[in-house]
Amino acid sequence: MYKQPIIKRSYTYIMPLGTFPYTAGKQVNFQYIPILEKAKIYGIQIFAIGNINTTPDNQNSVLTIGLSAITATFAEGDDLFIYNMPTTMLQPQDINQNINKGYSMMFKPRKINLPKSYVTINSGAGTYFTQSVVIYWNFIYTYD
Amino acid sequence: MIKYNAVVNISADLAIGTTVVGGQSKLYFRSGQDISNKRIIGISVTPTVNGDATLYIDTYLTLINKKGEYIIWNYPVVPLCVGNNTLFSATRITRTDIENIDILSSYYTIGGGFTVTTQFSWFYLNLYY
Repeated sequence: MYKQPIIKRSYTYIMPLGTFPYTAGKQVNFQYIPILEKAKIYGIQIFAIGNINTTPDNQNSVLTIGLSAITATFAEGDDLFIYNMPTTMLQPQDINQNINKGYSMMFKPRKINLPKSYVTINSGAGTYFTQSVVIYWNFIYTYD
Repeated sequence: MIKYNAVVNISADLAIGTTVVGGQSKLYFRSGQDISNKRIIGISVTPTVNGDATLYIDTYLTLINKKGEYIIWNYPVVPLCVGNNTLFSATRITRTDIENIDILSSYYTIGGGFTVTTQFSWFYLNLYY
């Protein structure tokens, strides 16, 4: 459900989608993130062009329209509790106050199995991607 | 709700006219007040130049606590900018529940390149407690 999260801790993860052009059906897994191993994640955000252009390490962010061609799957253990969710649903807000109006997707705190979680690029058409990009994720979590 | 300003003086770290290379600059807070005993319930950023998103769109906030833990790491600044402005359109303060923040160890990171000018010399972070 959408709420305004109360951030206890947040961690950003830059997910490279690989070298452009992208093939439809390509899956990109999250890497293991030590700091999140024992974390209970209760909110996930994506920031795309509009809120950012380049990442802190100077990589090009995906466009919002690119996110419309990407879905996300998250696992807790082996349970795929989020399966093929459109990633546009994870954008809190863009610079013009569109998308989800500042609210973020939240759920009960879970220890997400990130290496088993992934995104799927459903179309690599030029409408969605024009260069190699990354997805800028932000995980809201607690250790409590 | 009490508001406390923490300030980054960009031009104290980077000369006017400097072109910042993305990913290579950390701008540290210079405010001296110790807020480590406060529970921070909200944060926002005040844009210093009304209507110009150039600086903020590739700026990221990191807050570190007294234990050296990264509590908020590389959070984009634009969603934190609350303003009566079509570009900075967050209408609500970002809510937090964090404490023991070491503001002098905390910093902004610049992702993309920009050139430092006098109008970008000051950068305000508002911490609510």
